[in-house]
Amino acid sequence: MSIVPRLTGWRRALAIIFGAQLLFWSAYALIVISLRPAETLAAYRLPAARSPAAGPGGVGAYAAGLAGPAVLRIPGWEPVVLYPARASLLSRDDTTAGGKQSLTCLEPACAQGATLYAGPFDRLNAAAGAERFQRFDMVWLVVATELMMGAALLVLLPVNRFSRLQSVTGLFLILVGMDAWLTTFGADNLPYAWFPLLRYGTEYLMLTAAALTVNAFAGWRAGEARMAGACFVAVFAVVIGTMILRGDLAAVIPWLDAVTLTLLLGYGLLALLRMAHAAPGPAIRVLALLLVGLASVGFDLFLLPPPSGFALQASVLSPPLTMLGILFEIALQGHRLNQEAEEERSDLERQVLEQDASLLRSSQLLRHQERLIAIDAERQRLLRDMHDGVGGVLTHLLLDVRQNRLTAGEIEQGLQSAVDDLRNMASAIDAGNEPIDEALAMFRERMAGRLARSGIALDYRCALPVPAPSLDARRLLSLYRLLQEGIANSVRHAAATRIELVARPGEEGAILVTLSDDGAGFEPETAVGAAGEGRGLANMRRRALQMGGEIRIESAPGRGTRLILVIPIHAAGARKG
Amino acid sequence: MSAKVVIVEDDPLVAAHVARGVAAHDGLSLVATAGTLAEARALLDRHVDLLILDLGLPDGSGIELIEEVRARGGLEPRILVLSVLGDQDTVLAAVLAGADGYLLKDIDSLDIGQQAADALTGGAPLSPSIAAYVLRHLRRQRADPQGDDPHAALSPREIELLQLLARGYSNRQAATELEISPHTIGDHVKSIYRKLRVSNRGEAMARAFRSGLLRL
Repeated sequence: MSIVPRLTGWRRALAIIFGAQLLFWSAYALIVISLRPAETLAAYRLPAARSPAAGPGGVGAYAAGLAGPAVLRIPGWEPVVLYPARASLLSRDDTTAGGKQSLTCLEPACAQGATLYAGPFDRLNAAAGAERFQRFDMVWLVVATELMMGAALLVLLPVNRFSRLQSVTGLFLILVGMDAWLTTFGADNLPYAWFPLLRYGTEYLMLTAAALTVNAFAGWRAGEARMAGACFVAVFAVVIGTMILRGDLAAVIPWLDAVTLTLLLGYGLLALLRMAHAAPGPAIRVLALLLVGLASVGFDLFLLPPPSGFALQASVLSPPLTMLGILFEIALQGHRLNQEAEEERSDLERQVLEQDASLLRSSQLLRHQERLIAIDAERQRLLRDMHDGVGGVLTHLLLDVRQNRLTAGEIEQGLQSAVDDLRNMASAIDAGNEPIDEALAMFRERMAGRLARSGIALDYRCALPVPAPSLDARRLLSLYRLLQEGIANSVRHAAATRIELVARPGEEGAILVTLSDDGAGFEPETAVGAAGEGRGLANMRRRALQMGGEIRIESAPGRGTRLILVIPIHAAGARKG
Repeated sequence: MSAKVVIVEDDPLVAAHVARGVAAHDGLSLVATAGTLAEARALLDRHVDLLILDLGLPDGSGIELIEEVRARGGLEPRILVLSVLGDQDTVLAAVLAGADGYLLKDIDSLDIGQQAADALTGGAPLSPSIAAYVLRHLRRQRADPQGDDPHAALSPREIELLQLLARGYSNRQAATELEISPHTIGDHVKSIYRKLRVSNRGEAMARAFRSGLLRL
């Protein structure tokens, strides 16, 4: 995937750390260069020896770092109200020459650390604008950004399969945004007695969320999460207790801040050590972010000149970078999750394919075996059929010829019936499962010529619908043999001149096959036990039974013979090969 | 003026039996008898009206000879194939190659003469079994559309005729049923044979190979 060779071990760690530093300081340099530092206002600082200088926009006054509105009095000028991060216009007042310059707060302790300037209005106004941006607009920006990012993380949870790290980080970002708003604007907008409880509660909750984020980063441990929760409950109890007992938190907050921050820092280091073992990759990235933070603090402390006018503190930039890092980490985790899911899916796919192949193999094997079994059954059937028909005829013939009992004509007749049976077998194999009207027409074709030579007409009529039902080869052979036997009886015993073969539909889809002659006929009751004809009739009954049908024989002396065969057709029976 | 008949059969007993049948019929005269494909080819330079042919010959299959004869074009000579069982594969291979019908080897020699004469006059051109075999062949082709050849498609009328003949209808009965003259039946039958020949030359060989006839 990557063209650049993958760095490993300490080289990789160094690359990540230096990369983070490079990214940070480039961003810092870019911002510093793009935001032109404001001119120094030192020349206009009050109290000044000389009178405030005028500019094209008139004379103005401005108090940097003012906390609340205050009234400024300068000798020779009318008193003016100053607001935080705003410049006000001054107008001359010759009546109040002399007196002393003063700044009177409208609210208590508003002017602590404030620096007064008076001079050209437009310059002072620009400086006030810069302060406004730093003190208020930037906070709004941060609040909005943190809230939006937090909400985005929470909304996108399903994408990362509800990753714990992402949910905790989202919560943390939202709490950071709320805390920033409460710290900067909360006191003005929520002027209630219990406001500090809300503010510090949110702050410590935010710190708890930070601890949870660290925990999630370092590989979640439920015990540590419970511990963080317990710490929050303890701190919050102290806050509530203090509120109730003393009504003022000012005394305890610095202590609580110190304790919680120390705990958080200690826990962070502990977690980092743990990560170094469990997850070296994320640990290195976290370390890189921490080093950036440390470097920025060091830069602010030792290299940045004391604030004079506008200057960007490097430590201000490091939290956004940290956030970026966390977001990057979450994105990375999401990517990994996706990759794993992809691998699992392709693994599953491969398994399914393999199973398919093996199923196919076994089904082919099964089909092959089924075919072998079917072929074997077919061979057995063929053997049985030969035994039942042509084999029996030839054996009989052989025994009779050995004993010299037969005339040439009788031998010819025997052989002819053997050949006929062979043809019946061949035809049954060919015409099995084909329409029965065609099969019967072919039977008639085989028989008609020879019968005509003996002066017997064989008529065939078929009244079956088109396409006619079909019999499997086995039942068709039984039908052929039965008809052959019946015709042989008519020729040998009945002296018939006309034989009629009719196929027509019977009840319930059965086929009715009728073979009738105009021969001598006989008494069916007495014939059953008789030697010659009796065996023929028994044979025909057996064949009918083999086909799953039944046969009726109607005959009377002098009135011909009629064989009525009922062959049931059922879908399963018709299909069986 | 009797029709000239050539018999190609390697079994002398069968050849003699068939020859007796030909000789007994007034309209037929036996020109020659051949025992191999090579002998038969030499005989076919002369004018012959009817070829009675065994398929399993010592130097090849009779199918080859049928194909050679039909490749020269025309319906002459008529060809009847000798078969022991009259089974589907043998008969169909012969018919698809261009034979006009088949004779069972054991039928009475008088019947042989009659059937041979019928083949020449076109009296019984398509027996029920051949009609049935051809129908099955067409059904199989329809199930397996690979061998579909638009030039060879039989018309619905021709298929109807095949179905009637396969049901055992005589030409006269079929003509009544289809309300056409018996003469038209003959035209239909000729057309069926021609179409089968056109479309199935290669397949007849394949079928002959499959059923082992060419290796006899």
